[in-house]
Amino acid sequence: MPGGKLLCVDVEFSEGRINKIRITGDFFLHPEETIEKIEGSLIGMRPEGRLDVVILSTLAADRARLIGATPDDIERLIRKARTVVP
Amino acid sequence: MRWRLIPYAENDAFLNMAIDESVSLRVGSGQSPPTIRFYGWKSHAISIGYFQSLEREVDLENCRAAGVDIVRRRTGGGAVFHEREITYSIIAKEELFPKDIIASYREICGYVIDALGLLGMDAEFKPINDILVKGRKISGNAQTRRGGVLLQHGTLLYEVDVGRMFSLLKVSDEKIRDKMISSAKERVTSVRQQANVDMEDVLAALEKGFTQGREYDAGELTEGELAGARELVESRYKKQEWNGMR
Repeated sequence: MPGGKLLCVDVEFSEGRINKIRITGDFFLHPEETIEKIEGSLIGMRPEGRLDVVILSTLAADRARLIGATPDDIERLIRKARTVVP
Repeated sequence: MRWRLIPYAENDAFLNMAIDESVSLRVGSGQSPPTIRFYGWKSHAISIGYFQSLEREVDLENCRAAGVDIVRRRTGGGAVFHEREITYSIIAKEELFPKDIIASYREICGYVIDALGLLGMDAEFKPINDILVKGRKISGNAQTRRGGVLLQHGTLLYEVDVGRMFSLLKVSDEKIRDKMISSAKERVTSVRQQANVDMEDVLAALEKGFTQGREYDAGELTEGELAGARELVESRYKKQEWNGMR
Protein backbone atom coordinates (compact mmCIF):
# COMPACT_ATOMS: atom_id res chain seq x y z
CA MET A 1 0.00 0.00 0.00
CA PRO A 2 1.16 3.63 -0.37
CA GLY A 3 3.12 4.55 2.76
CA GLY A 4 4.52 1.03 2.85
CA LYS A 5 1.61 -0.50 4.73
CA LEU A 6 0.62 -4.14 4.53
CA LEU A 7 -3.00 -5.17 4.11
CA CYS A 8 -4.18 -8.80 4.19
CA VAL A 9 -7.68 -10.14 3.72
CA ASP A 10 -8.58 -13.71 4.67
CA VAL A 11 -11.96 -14.42 3.19
CA GLU A 12 -14.24 -17.42 2.75
CA PHE A 13 -17.09 -17.50 0.26
CA SER A 14 -20.26 -19.49 0.36
CA GLU A 15 -22.56 -19.60 -2.66
CA GLY A 16 -20.84 -16.55 -4.12
CA ARG A 17 -21.15 -14.45 -0.99
CA ILE A 18 -18.68 -13.50 1.72
CA ASN A 19 -19.14 -15.94 4.56
CA LYS A 20 -16.14 -15.13 6.75
CA ILE A 21 -13.63 -12.29 6.59
CA ARG A 22 -10.66 -11.11 8.58
CA ILE A 23 -8.77 -7.94 7.65
CA THR A 24 -5.25 -7.71 9.06
CA GLY A 25 -2.14 -5.63 8.55
CA ASP A 26 -0.09 -2.73 9.85
CA PHE A 27 -2.47 0.03 8.78
CA PHE A 28 -4.23 2.40 11.19
CA LEU A 29 -7.93 2.86 11.89
CA HIS A 30 -9.34 5.21 14.50
CA PRO A 31 -11.29 4.00 16.41
CA GLU A 32 -9.72 0.58 16.07
CA GLU A 33 -12.88 -1.38 16.95
CA THR A 34 -14.51 -0.20 13.73
CA ILE A 35 -12.61 -3.00 11.97
CA GLU A 36 -15.03 -5.55 13.44
CA LYS A 37 -17.97 -3.51 12.15
CA ILE A 38 -16.39 -3.31 8.70
CA GLU A 39 -15.88 -7.07 8.66
CA GLY A 40 -19.46 -7.63 9.86
CA SER A 41 -20.88 -5.28 7.23
CA LEU A 42 -19.24 -7.32 4.44
CA ILE A 43 -20.73 -10.66 5.46
CA GLY A 44 -23.33 -11.75 2.92
CA MET A 45 -22.02 -9.36 0.25
CA ARG A 46 -21.12 -10.56 -3.22
CA PRO A 47 -17.49 -9.68 -4.08
CA GLU A 48 -18.63 -7.95 -7.26
CA GLY A 49 -20.93 -5.67 -5.24
CA ARG A 50 -20.09 -2.15 -4.08
CA LEU A 51 -17.96 -3.25 -1.13
CA ASP A 52 -16.20 0.12 -1.09
CA VAL A 53 -19.50 1.92 -0.49
CA VAL A 54 -20.42 -0.44 2.36
CA ILE A 55 -17.01 0.12 3.97
CA LEU A 56 -17.26 3.88 3.50
CA SER A 57 -20.68 4.02 5.13
CA THR A 58 -19.44 1.94 8.09
CA LEU A 59 -16.52 4.33 8.48
CA ALA A 60 -18.86 7.32 8.28
CA ALA A 61 -21.27 5.86 10.85
CA ASP A 62 -18.40 5.53 13.36
CA ARG A 63 -16.75 8.78 12.21
CA ALA A 64 -13.74 6.52 11.75
CA ARG A 65 -10.55 7.29 9.89
CA LEU A 66 -8.67 4.64 7.93
CA ILE A 67 -4.99 5.45 7.35
CA GLY A 68 -2.50 3.53 5.22
CA ALA A 69 -5.22 1.61 3.35
CA THR A 70 -8.45 2.53 1.57
CA PRO A 71 -11.88 0.93 1.10
CA ASP A 72 -10.86 0.39 -2.53
CA ASP A 73 -7.80 -1.59 -1.41
CA ILE A 74 -9.96 -3.88 0.73
CA GLU A 75 -12.45 -4.35 -2.10
CA ARG A 76 -9.67 -5.13 -4.56
CA LEU A 77 -8.14 -7.77 -2.28
CA ILE A 78 -11.50 -9.45 -1.67
CA ARG A 79 -12.11 -9.65 -5.42
CA LYS A 80 -8.60 -10.98 -5.95
CA ALA A 81 -9.18 -13.67 -3.32
CA ARG A 82 -12.39 -14.60 -5.15
CA THR A 83 -10.49 -15.17 -8.36
CA VAL A 84 -7.69 -17.12 -6.68
CA VAL A 85 -9.94 -19.42 -4.63
CA PRO A 86 -13.27 -19.83 -6.41
CA MET B 1 -1.19 23.76 30.94
CA ARG B 2 1.45 21.90 32.94
CA TRP B 3 2.70 18.61 31.67
CA ARG B 4 4.04 15.67 33.63
CA LEU B 5 7.27 13.98 32.60
CA ILE B 6 7.69 10.41 33.79
CA PRO B 7 11.39 9.52 33.61
CA TYR B 8 12.66 6.33 31.99
CA ALA B 9 11.75 3.08 33.73
CA GLU B 10 11.70 -0.53 32.60
CA ASN B 11 8.67 -2.81 32.92
CA ASP B 12 7.51 -5.98 31.26
CA ALA B 13 5.59 -5.72 27.99
CA PHE B 14 2.16 -6.19 29.54
CA LEU B 15 2.60 -3.53 32.19
CA ASN B 16 4.12 -1.11 29.67
CA MET B 17 1.05 -1.27 27.45
CA ALA B 18 -1.32 -1.24 30.42
CA ILE B 19 0.30 1.90 31.85
CA ASP B 20 -0.21 3.75 28.57
CA GLU B 21 -3.90 2.79 28.61
CA SER B 22 -4.41 3.50 32.31
CA VAL B 23 -2.86 6.95 31.99
CA SER B 24 -4.95 7.63 28.85
CA LEU B 25 -8.16 6.84 30.73
CA ARG B 26 -7.22 9.22 33.53
CA VAL B 27 -6.12 11.97 31.18
CA GLY B 28 -9.53 11.62 29.55
CA SER B 29 -11.38 11.94 32.84
CA GLY B 30 -9.25 14.90 33.91
CA GLN B 31 -7.65 13.04 36.83
CA SER B 32 -4.19 13.05 35.26
CA PRO B 33 -2.27 15.82 33.50
CA PRO B 34 -0.98 15.51 29.94
CA THR B 35 1.90 13.11 30.22
CA ILE B 36 5.20 12.34 28.53
CA ARG B 37 6.66 9.00 29.50
CA PHE B 38 9.91 7.23 28.61
CA TYR B 39 10.29 3.51 29.12
CA GLY B 40 12.13 0.32 28.32
CA TRP B 41 11.26 -3.37 28.25
CA LYS B 42 12.45 -5.49 31.14
CA SER B 43 12.57 -8.76 29.31
CA HIS B 44 12.87 -8.43 25.57
CA ALA B 45 9.50 -8.27 23.93
CA ILE B 46 7.58 -8.07 20.69
CA SER B 47 4.61 -5.80 20.37
CA ILE B 48 2.25 -6.24 17.46
CA GLY B 49 -0.19 -3.74 16.02
CA TYR B 50 -3.89 -3.88 16.83
CA PHE B 51 -4.82 -5.23 13.39
CA GLN B 52 -1.99 -7.68 12.88
CA SER B 53 -2.33 -11.43 12.84
CA LEU B 54 -0.33 -12.84 15.76
CA GLU B 55 0.44 -16.13 14.06
CA ARG B 56 1.32 -14.52 10.76
CA GLU B 57 3.71 -11.99 12.27
CA VAL B 58 5.42 -13.76 15.16
CA ASP B 59 7.40 -17.00 15.44
CA LEU B 60 5.70 -18.11 18.64
CA GLU B 61 7.94 -21.10 19.17
CA ASN B 62 11.18 -19.14 18.88
CA CYS B 63 9.79 -16.40 21.14
CA ARG B 64 8.83 -18.95 23.78
CA ALA B 65 12.28 -20.59 23.60
CA ALA B 66 14.00 -17.18 23.85
CA GLY B 67 11.76 -15.97 26.69
CA VAL B 68 10.46 -13.06 24.63
CA ASP B 69 7.10 -11.67 25.74
CA ILE B 70 4.50 -10.86 23.11
CA VAL B 71 1.82 -8.22 23.54
CA ARG B 72 -0.79 -6.72 21.25
CA ARG B 73 -0.92 -2.92 21.31
CA ARG B 74 -4.03 -0.76 21.33
CA THR B 75 -2.48 1.07 18.40
CA GLY B 76 -2.20 -0.02 14.80
CA GLY B 77 1.08 -0.24 12.92
CA GLY B 78 3.59 -3.03 12.66
CA ALA B 79 5.34 -5.59 14.82
CA VAL B 80 8.28 -4.26 16.83
CA PHE B 81 11.05 -6.19 18.53
CA HIS B 82 11.85 -4.23 21.67
CA GLU B 83 15.44 -4.84 22.70
CA ARG B 84 17.98 -2.03 22.78
CA GLU B 85 15.73 0.96 22.32
CA ILE B 86 13.92 3.73 24.13
CA THR B 87 10.15 3.90 23.92
CA TYR B 88 8.20 7.07 24.56
CA SER B 89 4.54 7.79 24.97
CA ILE B 90 2.76 11.11 24.85
CA ILE B 91 -0.78 11.20 26.20
CA ALA B 92 -2.94 14.32 26.13
CA LYS B 93 -6.34 15.65 25.22
CA GLU B 94 -6.81 15.51 21.47
CA GLU B 95 -7.43 19.24 21.19
CA LEU B 96 -3.79 19.95 22.07
CA PHE B 97 -2.71 18.48 18.74
CA PRO B 98 -3.70 18.94 15.10
CA LYS B 99 -6.96 17.22 14.19
CA ASP B 100 -5.31 15.88 11.06
CA ILE B 101 -3.64 12.61 12.02
CA ILE B 102 -0.61 12.87 9.75
CA ALA B 103 -0.06 16.46 10.93
CA SER B 104 -0.11 15.27 14.54
CA TYR B 105 2.36 12.48 13.73
CA ARG B 106 4.55 15.10 12.10
CA GLU B 107 4.38 17.34 15.17
CA ILE B 108 5.13 14.62 17.73
CA CYS B 109 7.77 12.93 15.58
CA GLY B 110 9.28 16.42 15.38
CA TYR B 111 10.20 16.15 19.06
CA VAL B 112 12.19 12.97 18.32
CA ILE B 113 13.77 14.62 15.27
CA ASP B 114 14.80 17.59 17.42
CA ALA B 115 16.30 15.19 19.98
CA LEU B 116 18.28 13.44 17.26
CA GLY B 117 19.42 16.86 16.05
CA LEU B 118 20.81 17.56 19.52
CA LEU B 119 22.80 14.34 19.16
CA GLY B 120 24.18 15.46 15.80
CA MET B 121 21.86 13.46 13.55
CA ASP B 122 19.89 14.92 10.68
CA ALA B 123 16.57 13.10 10.84
CA GLU B 124 13.39 13.49 8.82
CA PHE B 125 9.74 12.54 9.18
CA LYS B 126 8.43 10.05 6.66
CA PRO B 127 4.65 9.81 6.59
CA ILE B 128 2.78 7.97 7.82
CA ASN B 129 4.62 7.19 11.00
CA ASP B 130 8.37 6.77 10.52
CA ILE B 131 11.52 8.78 11.25
CA LEU B 132 14.54 8.28 9.01
CA VAL B 133 18.21 9.11 9.28
CA LYS B 134 20.10 9.05 5.98
CA GLY B 135 17.09 7.37 4.42
CA ARG B 136 17.01 4.54 6.95
CA LYS B 137 14.37 4.00 9.60
CA ILE B 138 15.42 4.78 13.16
CA SER B 139 12.03 5.25 14.80
CA GLY B 140 8.52 3.86 14.34
CA ASN B 141 5.46 5.45 15.89
CA ALA B 142 1.81 4.55 16.43
CA GLN B 143 -1.14 6.62 17.51
CA THR B 144 -4.64 6.06 18.75
CA ARG B 145 -7.39 8.49 19.71
CA ARG B 146 -10.10 7.41 22.11
CA GLY B 147 -12.42 9.31 24.38
CA GLY B 148 -10.95 12.63 23.28
CA VAL B 149 -7.43 11.52 24.20
CA LEU B 150 -4.49 11.16 21.87
CA LEU B 151 -1.94 8.49 22.72
CA GLN B 152 1.14 8.18 20.60
CA HIS B 153 3.92 5.81 21.44
CA GLY B 154 7.05 5.16 19.49
CA THR B 155 10.45 3.61 19.67
CA LEU B 156 13.89 4.99 19.01
CA LEU B 157 16.34 2.25 18.09
CA TYR B 158 19.51 2.52 20.13
CA GLU B 159 21.12 -0.64 18.80
CA VAL B 160 19.60 -3.16 16.44
CA ASP B 161 20.26 -6.83 15.80
CA VAL B 162 18.35 -7.51 12.61
CA GLY B 163 19.29 -11.21 12.54
CA ARG B 164 17.81 -11.75 16.01
CA MET B 165 14.75 -9.71 15.06
CA PHE B 166 14.04 -12.00 12.11
CA SER B 167 14.50 -15.11 14.22
CA LEU B 168 11.49 -13.94 16.26
CA LEU B 169 9.32 -12.36 13.59
CA LYS B 170 7.85 -14.50 10.82
CA VAL B 171 9.32 -14.36 7.38
CA SER B 172 6.80 -15.06 4.65
CA ASP B 173 9.17 -17.35 2.82
CA GLU B 174 12.06 -19.07 4.61
CA LYS B 175 14.01 -19.18 1.35
CA ILE B 176 14.26 -15.40 1.31
CA ARG B 177 15.12 -14.99 5.03
CA ASP B 178 18.75 -14.03 4.27
CA LYS B 179 17.63 -11.57 1.61
CA MET B 180 15.13 -10.03 4.01
CA ILE B 181 17.80 -9.65 6.68
CA SER B 182 20.22 -7.94 4.31
CA SER B 183 17.44 -5.75 2.95
CA ALA B 184 16.32 -4.82 6.47
CA LYS B 185 19.93 -4.00 7.38
CA GLU B 186 19.92 -1.51 4.52
CA ARG B 187 16.56 -0.02 5.53
CA VAL B 188 17.06 0.21 9.30
CA THR B 189 19.60 2.07 11.39
CA SER B 190 20.13 2.88 15.05
CA VAL B 191 21.47 5.68 17.20
CA ARG B 192 24.67 3.72 17.81
CA GLN B 193 25.26 3.28 14.10
CA GLN B 194 24.99 7.01 13.60
CA ALA B 195 26.59 8.54 16.71
CA ASN B 196 28.86 7.58 19.57
CA VAL B 197 26.48 8.47 22.38
CA ASP B 198 25.26 6.51 25.37
CA MET B 199 21.70 5.83 26.44
CA GLU B 200 21.77 8.62 29.03
CA ASP B 201 22.66 11.15 26.33
CA VAL B 202 19.78 9.91 24.21
CA LEU B 203 17.33 10.12 27.10
CA ALA B 204 18.46 13.62 27.98
CA ALA B 205 18.04 14.72 24.36
CA LEU B 206 14.60 13.11 24.14
CA GLU B 207 13.49 14.85 27.33
CA LYS B 208 14.60 18.16 25.84
CA GLY B 209 12.89 17.42 22.53
CA PHE B 210 9.58 16.53 24.14
CA THR B 211 9.49 19.28 26.78
CA GLN B 212 10.70 22.24 24.70
CA GLY B 213 8.28 25.13 25.04
CA ARG B 214 6.24 23.30 27.67
CA GLU B 215 5.82 23.89 31.36
CA TYR B 216 6.28 20.58 33.07
CA ASP B 217 7.08 18.77 36.29
CA ALA B 218 8.99 15.54 36.59
CA GLY B 219 6.52 13.17 38.19
CA GLU B 220 5.56 9.60 38.88
CA LEU B 221 2.61 7.42 38.08
CA THR B 222 -0.13 7.79 40.69
CA GLU B 223 -1.36 4.88 42.78
CA GLY B 224 -4.61 5.00 40.81
CA GLU B 225 -2.81 4.81 37.47
CA LEU B 226 -0.68 1.89 38.66
CA ALA B 227 -3.62 0.03 40.15
CA GLY B 228 -5.58 0.57 36.92
CA ALA B 229 -2.61 -0.66 34.90
CA ARG B 230 -2.26 -3.82 37.00
CA GLU B 231 -5.94 -4.57 36.42
CA LEU B 232 -5.51 -4.07 32.69
CA VAL B 233 -2.52 -6.44 32.67
CA GLU B 234 -4.78 -9.21 33.97
CA SER B 235 -7.98 -8.29 32.15
CA ARG B 236 -6.45 -7.53 28.75
CA TYR B 237 -2.75 -7.53 28.03
CA LYS B 238 -1.87 -11.00 29.36
CA LYS B 239 -5.00 -12.58 27.92
CA GLN B 240 -4.83 -14.90 24.93
CA GLU B 241 -8.23 -13.50 23.87
CA TRP B 242 -6.55 -10.11 23.40
CA ASN B 243 -3.14 -11.08 22.11
CA GLY B 244 -4.50 -13.76 19.78
CA MET B 245 -7.64 -11.96 18.67
CA ARG B 246 -6.36 -11.66 15.08
